[in-house]
Amino acid sequence: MATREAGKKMIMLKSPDGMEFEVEEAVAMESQTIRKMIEDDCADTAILIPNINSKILSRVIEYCNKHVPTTGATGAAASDTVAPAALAEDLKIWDAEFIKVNRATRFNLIQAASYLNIKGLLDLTSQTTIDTISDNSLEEIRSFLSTKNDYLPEEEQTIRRENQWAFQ
Amino acid sequence: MLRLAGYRSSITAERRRRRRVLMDNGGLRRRLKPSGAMEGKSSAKKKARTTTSPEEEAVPAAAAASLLTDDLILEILSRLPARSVHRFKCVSPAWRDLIADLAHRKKLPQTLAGFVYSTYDRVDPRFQRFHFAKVSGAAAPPVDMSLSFLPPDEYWYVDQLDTCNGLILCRAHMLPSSPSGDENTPVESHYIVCNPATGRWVDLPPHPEVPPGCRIFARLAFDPAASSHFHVLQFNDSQQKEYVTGVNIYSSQTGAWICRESRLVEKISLFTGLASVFLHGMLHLLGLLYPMNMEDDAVLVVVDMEGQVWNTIPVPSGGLSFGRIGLSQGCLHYATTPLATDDKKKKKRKKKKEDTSTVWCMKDHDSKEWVLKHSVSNDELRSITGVDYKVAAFHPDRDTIFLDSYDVDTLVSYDMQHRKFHQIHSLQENRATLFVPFVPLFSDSFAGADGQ
Repeated sequence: MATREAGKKMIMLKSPDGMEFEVEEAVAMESQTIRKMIEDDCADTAILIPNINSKILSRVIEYCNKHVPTTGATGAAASDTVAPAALAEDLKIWDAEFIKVNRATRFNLIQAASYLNIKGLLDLTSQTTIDTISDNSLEEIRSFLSTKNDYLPEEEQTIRRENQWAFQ
Repeated sequence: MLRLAGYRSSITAERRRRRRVLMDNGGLRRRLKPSGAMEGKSSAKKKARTTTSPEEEAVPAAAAASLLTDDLILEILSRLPARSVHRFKCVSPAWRDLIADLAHRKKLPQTLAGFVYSTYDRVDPRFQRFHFAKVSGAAAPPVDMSLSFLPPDEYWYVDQLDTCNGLILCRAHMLPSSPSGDENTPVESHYIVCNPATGRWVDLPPHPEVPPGCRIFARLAFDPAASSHFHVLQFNDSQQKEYVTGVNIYSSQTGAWICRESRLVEKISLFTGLASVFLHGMLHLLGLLYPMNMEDDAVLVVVDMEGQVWNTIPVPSGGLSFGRIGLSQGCLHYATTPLATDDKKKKKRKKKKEDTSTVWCMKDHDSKEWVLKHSVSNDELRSITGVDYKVAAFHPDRDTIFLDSYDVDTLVSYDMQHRKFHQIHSLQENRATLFVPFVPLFSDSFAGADGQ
């Protein structure tokens, strides 16, 4: 988790299962939802994040920590020595590692990214899901997303015929 | 009585089931060890694929999938190509309805709605009229292709010049300010870029002057996946209109025109009547080396949005033929149709037997390598359709090309995989060559549009 540094404003985030996370304000503000709460002055002590359990919240914070733009003395030094392209490449590799999670965690992360309005994380989680399922068979997609096929046989025939071109 | 008994027994069965659930819960503690061991085993199996810890595996994926509300499913689907979205309609009725819902069309990628094409005006062939050929079978939402949302009393008449990813480039001619009726007073005109799906448009600042007698040749470059900004490119020709000498580029980001000279090594005259393709931030246009020899192969001219990079790419040799470029499934395509023997409008055909239409695809844009995708002989085309056809356009999502006849005013689709034809549309007579696929764009990602 975030380490306290002198002069940096900290924010307390609480998950519904009672865990508390102290993070830098800048990190928390990667979430547009939290940013709005902070800017509207609704966040003096702690912010309760409903619907997102501590395990998922800790992963989200991990993501924001990595993606928060580096500023200040140490940050400036880092960006002087490392080219922006290299930094972006580094982030990409980190993202690829970060998103190696099971299905349940990924769905939880999508939901959290959407609720907290973290565009980068929503892009990452949605795109990874698309990459997983885009070439799969319908059966695999149904099982991956745990949706039932409640088409009547003749209904399914019709819809398949109408969209036959998309299967080729 | 029987029914009641049945009812009661179902209640008892429900109670029994509940009790079992309770017992299972109670028994959980006792059985924790063996089941934990089993879980360890199963997660070890899956380790090759994911790096999840056993405790994460314990979260049931089905329960987590229920977190995916319609909005989130749309969020995921919006990143797919149109083709996959259509396939996903078959997942379940709920998905079909979600995808078909008009309220969601802003988010989801759309497919081909039809073609914008032009005909020569009967009275004055210097003017062109614009038409929209709707592709039948496509359940395309209604789009106002007559552009009636443009204020009618402000413009005298509006030419449609090009379309690119849902936007249309027009040239609006202003009503003469003084009713003097002097024919030598040039009609004032400017460009408009509009989205017929949303009825939004933007007037562009005056474009650089075109020398008198020169035809305006302008193209639109827009890719909503990359940016909400668009570019309009107006090409300049040499004095006698022989070859391209430069381009004026309008950027909606800067709101200004810039002028750039051609950096092409060769002298090339661009085909003003053919569709261009905007791909990877570059506009692709077909042209011919100057001095022109109609039997030479066409050349693909590629120019970037700063007018700094100008390149040429050779196209597959086709002899004396009609060449067309288009975009399909994210790749640049080129098709060539040999000129028909009885085409009197063009020079006489060479005696060489090159009567096969070919379709080529540039799978890897960096390699600039054309891969032959399909070929069909004119004889085969003629035996099925009875007339000569030439390739007019490409389907953006399917392995389908559209054919346009010399003799009849019908648009035909040709499925390359199954070698099947479908007559799909009657076209207006007296057609000009411009034939551009139109895919509606329902999102508001169109910068600078203020018209409502």
